[in-house]
Amino acid sequence: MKTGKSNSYVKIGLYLLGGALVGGVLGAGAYMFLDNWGQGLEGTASQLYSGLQALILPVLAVLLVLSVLAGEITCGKLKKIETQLPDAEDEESDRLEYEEEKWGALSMNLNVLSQVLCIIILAAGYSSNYLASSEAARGGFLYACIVFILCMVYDSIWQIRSVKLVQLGHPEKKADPSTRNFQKKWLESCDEAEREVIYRSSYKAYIMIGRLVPVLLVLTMLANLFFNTGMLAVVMVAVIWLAVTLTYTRSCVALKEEKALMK
Amino acid sequence: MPLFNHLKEYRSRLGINQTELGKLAGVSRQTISLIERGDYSPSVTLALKLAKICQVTVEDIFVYEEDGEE
Repeated sequence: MKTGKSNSYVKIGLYLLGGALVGGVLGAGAYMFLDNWGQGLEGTASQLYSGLQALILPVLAVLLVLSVLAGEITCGKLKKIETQLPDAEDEESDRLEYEEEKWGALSMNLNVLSQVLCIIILAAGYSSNYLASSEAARGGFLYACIVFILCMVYDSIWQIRSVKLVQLGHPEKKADPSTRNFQKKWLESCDEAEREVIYRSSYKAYIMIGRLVPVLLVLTMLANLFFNTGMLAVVMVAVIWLAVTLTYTRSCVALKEEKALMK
Repeated sequence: MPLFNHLKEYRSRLGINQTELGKLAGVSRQTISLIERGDYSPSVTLALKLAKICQVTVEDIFVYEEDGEE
């Protein structure tokens, strides 16, 4: 009886061969392209970077305003939903809880986006070369730091408000968002169906990370090869890959161990 | 999963809404709604709890049918 084992090896071999061919063609193409246009690309990137450095303060200020707007709109929507939930009929509750999930997810995504953009923009000026370049650069960066802190403080308040609003409609969820074990307590206050949603979504996120990280690793390696961006980005992505895999497998072993020792 | 149920019917007989049944079973209203729609198969513990609240057996509420079974 034939098994699928040999087919799997052949398939993987073909994938690797395909990958090598595509990589070879793209690599050679990129080498030829960058040989002719590389300096132009580097120049453009350098100009963009310098432009961003000069605009750190206004860009961060705009980001702060946009974050406050997004936070107030999403929290306002959540508040409206949560106040309607306790008195809603069964069918109406289904609709409201879907809306709650949707606005809660939007709120969380915008919040993280705001934090990530804040860090990226501030990081553009967070360099000793830039700070040593002029007095104006140092002064501007100091004000940028103040706006950055304001934005991060608002983002933290926004997160806590979102959680408190969800708790308004679901009083059984007692976890305190300002404590370190908030995630654990929140999970403990969820029932079995809610936990299944969390577990399935977490597994999807794990699968996505597993697919995205190798691509990022190749991209950071290519960036280092062609633009000398340094090894740090490659190492960081590799560390994330290792940390995610180790956390997942360690959790699997720990759960099996718990069951095995219960016998 | 070929698991059907008559939870909505038994809940209506008790004259309670999803929130009240959820409180009695120690789960959220949403979980009761998901079970009634057939979108979630409850654990054995929850199925037994629901049967106890409705004062019937688990088999009265939940029906398992194999593929192709009439």
